[in-house]
Amino acid sequence: MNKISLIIILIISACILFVSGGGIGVFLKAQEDNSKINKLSSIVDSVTSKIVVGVSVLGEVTKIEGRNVTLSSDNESIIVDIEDYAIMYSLVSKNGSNDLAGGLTKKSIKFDDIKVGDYLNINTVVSRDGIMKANIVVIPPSFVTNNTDNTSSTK
Amino acid sequence: MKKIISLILLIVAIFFSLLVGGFCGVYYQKQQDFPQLQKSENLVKDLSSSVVTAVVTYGTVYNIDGNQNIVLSSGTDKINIAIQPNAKFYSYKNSVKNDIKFSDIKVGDTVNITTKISSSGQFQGQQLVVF
Repeated sequence: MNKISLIIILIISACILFVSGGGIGVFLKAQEDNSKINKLSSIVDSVTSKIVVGVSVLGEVTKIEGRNVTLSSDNESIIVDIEDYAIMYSLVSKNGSNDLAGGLTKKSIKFDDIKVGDYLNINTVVSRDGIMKANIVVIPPSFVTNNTDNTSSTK
Repeated sequence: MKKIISLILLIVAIFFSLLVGGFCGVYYQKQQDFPQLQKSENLVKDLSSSVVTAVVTYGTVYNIDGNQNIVLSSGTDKINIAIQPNAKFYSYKNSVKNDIKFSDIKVGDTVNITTKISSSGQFQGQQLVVF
């Protein structure tokens, strides 16, 4: 066997080995992906099952896009789709002041009343496609009065 | 001597080709788009974020194991909930709320469990109410 034949055989062997290595790499990664997909599917199945009756979220509105509201808390954000039929209200003091000692009352609001910077407490359900859909939206009271030391704190 | 060097070079070349091929294969597979996987990953990330304060579950106790894991069922659906060591347990009998212990919970009880979802997607029970 002359030198050229040997080089050609070596190059072909290297190519075959490269492709084989590639195949093994694809296979191993696909195995890993499949196990991840199965685990995540099982979580999504659980979250969207009849057993989960609601997911409660609380955060500051940082963005409103169409009916999608982005809520943030501690540098984490999630997007909630506010359903057309969602019940929306704010909780305000009965006497109209910031003093909540007299009790709270519900004040009906519309989607347009929600502004960036508001804090929302939302009840959602998770749809099969992984979207959190809001069915109850509450704007909690902005101020909470501590009766014992008579100080107020903002939201 | 020359033969030995050639043999070593050949073996190195074989391993190198396989290795490079393997890396390229993993890289290629990584580039593949799995929209459902991405969506699911995002959902678990969202549900385990600090914005989500509670995930409320309601069903019948299907199984209880010694590690404080409860399998909750409703129809054909079942989920596994790891009850946390600091979880609180109550029962409502005749509209009166009573403190109970984990050992008071029985298979077949109808319960409401308030949970948080961990970053690994595990339901972690924080409060359980037996009705």
